[in-house]
Amino acid sequence: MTQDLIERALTGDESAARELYDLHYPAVLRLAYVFLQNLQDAEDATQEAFIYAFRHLARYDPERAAFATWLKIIATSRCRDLQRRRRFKWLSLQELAEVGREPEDEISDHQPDVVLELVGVQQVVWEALKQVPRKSRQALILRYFGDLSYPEMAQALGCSVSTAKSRVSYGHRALARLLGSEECTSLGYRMGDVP
Amino acid sequence: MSKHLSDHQLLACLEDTFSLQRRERTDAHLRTCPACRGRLERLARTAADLTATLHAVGEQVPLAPARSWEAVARRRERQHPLLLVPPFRPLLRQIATLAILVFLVVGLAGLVHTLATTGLAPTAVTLTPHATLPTSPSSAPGPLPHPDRLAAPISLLLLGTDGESDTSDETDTLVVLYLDAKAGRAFLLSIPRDLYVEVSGHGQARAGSVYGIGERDETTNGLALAKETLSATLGLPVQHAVLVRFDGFVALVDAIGGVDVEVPHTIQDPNFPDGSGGYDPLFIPAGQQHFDGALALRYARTRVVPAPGFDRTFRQQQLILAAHERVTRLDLLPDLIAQAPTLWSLIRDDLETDISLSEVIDLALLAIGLTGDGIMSATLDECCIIQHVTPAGERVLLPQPDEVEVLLQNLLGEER
Repeated sequence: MTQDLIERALTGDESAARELYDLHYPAVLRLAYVFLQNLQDAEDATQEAFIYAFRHLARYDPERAAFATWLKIIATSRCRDLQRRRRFKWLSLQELAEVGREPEDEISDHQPDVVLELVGVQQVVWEALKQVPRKSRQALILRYFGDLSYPEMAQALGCSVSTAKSRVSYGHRALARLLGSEECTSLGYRMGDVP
Repeated sequence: MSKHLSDHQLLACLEDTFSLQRRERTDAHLRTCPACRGRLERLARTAADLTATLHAVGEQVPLAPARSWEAVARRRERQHPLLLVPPFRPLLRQIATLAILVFLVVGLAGLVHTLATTGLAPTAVTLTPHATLPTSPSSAPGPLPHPDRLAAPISLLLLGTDGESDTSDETDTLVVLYLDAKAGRAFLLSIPRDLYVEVSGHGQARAGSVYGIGERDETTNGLALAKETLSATLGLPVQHAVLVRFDGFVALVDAIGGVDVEVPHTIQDPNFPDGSGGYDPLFIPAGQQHFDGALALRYARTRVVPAPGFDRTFRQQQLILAAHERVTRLDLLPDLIAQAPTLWSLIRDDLETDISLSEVIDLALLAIGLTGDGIMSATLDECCIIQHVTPAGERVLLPQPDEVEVLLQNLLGEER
């Protein structure tokens, strides 16, 4: 069905494009939100991803990946762009102030704009995940939420397959360390018996 | 009992990605080792908790498909070439980015030219006015046209990589571009990739590998580490960095209608990879040739070396120089700016930078106004390095801090 929609969208059928969008928008937005932890940013990245996907629709090869996966790879790349820009903006504020000019873009305060209601273990795990170093966190998210294979992750993260594996492994270690800390165990997270 | 399983092995057990043989071996270990069994169980539990948590978070993200689609549809329309009148800011961004790229090409080409004209073994630092750029008769460097906003001098590190698959972390071109608009001073300083530099937190390493080290380091990234390292080595603050993969340059080749290259020796490569595991033989006869982007890419990438010195680095530099010549000779910049939106979509994946929008615009304005008069170019060569072989047998170049300082003072016009 997706393939049929893609072919129709390629011929300029706007309603097919809209259907494709409706079908895949939730998964892409959710992935982007988990990545960026900010709804506005996640919407931006999602829109960027779809615009890119529609523009390069002819390049999509169903033999290589599911359409949903292809979209997730593109969305990841947009999220990383956004994070990169954000990181840089934080650094450059000082410089901008020094030469006395206004920043060109409103800088979002990057506070979470969705109130999440998580309970018990999930609350603890979510807070711990936020503290995992960025690259490993991205890998964990793609692995356990994006359902991407390692070669697909490598493509999405712009690294080699073995690096993608290392990042997941490193992420697990970081997460285990965080979850094993007193703070997390006191909140009810059990790591099991330590040998 | 055999050795405990590594974290990697445990993860592979969990995901069942082992070959049967290794699987049997790890299973055997797990049967006899309660410690590793416990670790595997914890790993499985964390993975399950993580999956459940992420899905719970995902479920709570408020969806607004209709509003979101409107935004996408609106922007898709704007992208349509026939509807024209793109929004002002994105266009400006594209033009500016393109100007930067053209500037990079021009700068790198100038550098290559300087290297070529001073021979392969320069004996002293070359502080030559730029020969390949259009020069006015008066030789005195006048102040550069500068936007008022660019008050302070700025240094930019240009990194070039051939961008091949997984091993592309190595940067084979490193150039520091320094612009001081107020003083009307600009220079290009080429850094040998074998320069042995002190990398914060990583001991000593070759300059060409610093970007890759940063990419693999969890706490930083390639551009940041490269900037930090070269700032310390040169004693010159490097604020920004740009990484261009060679593929991005090749996309530009098509945009300027190909390049003319004098091929010194016939190239015959029966083993040129076709990208899907097979071969796609390459044959390029010696003589004057016109290349499109695809052929240029293969010219740059083939690993055959038909004659000493006629290697990949040489050919890549040849292409940069050819592109620079074409852009300046045919005055293609206005055309390129008209094509900016298309070009931008072509090269955006082959470019990595930490320059913000406003700074790109400043730099682009400067770059457009630059002529060769004010630009000096130099290489960190025998004037300020000594050859050295590391205990590991690596041939490297050791910078001599005092000599580097003198070179920088010369370039900055701060003679003692």
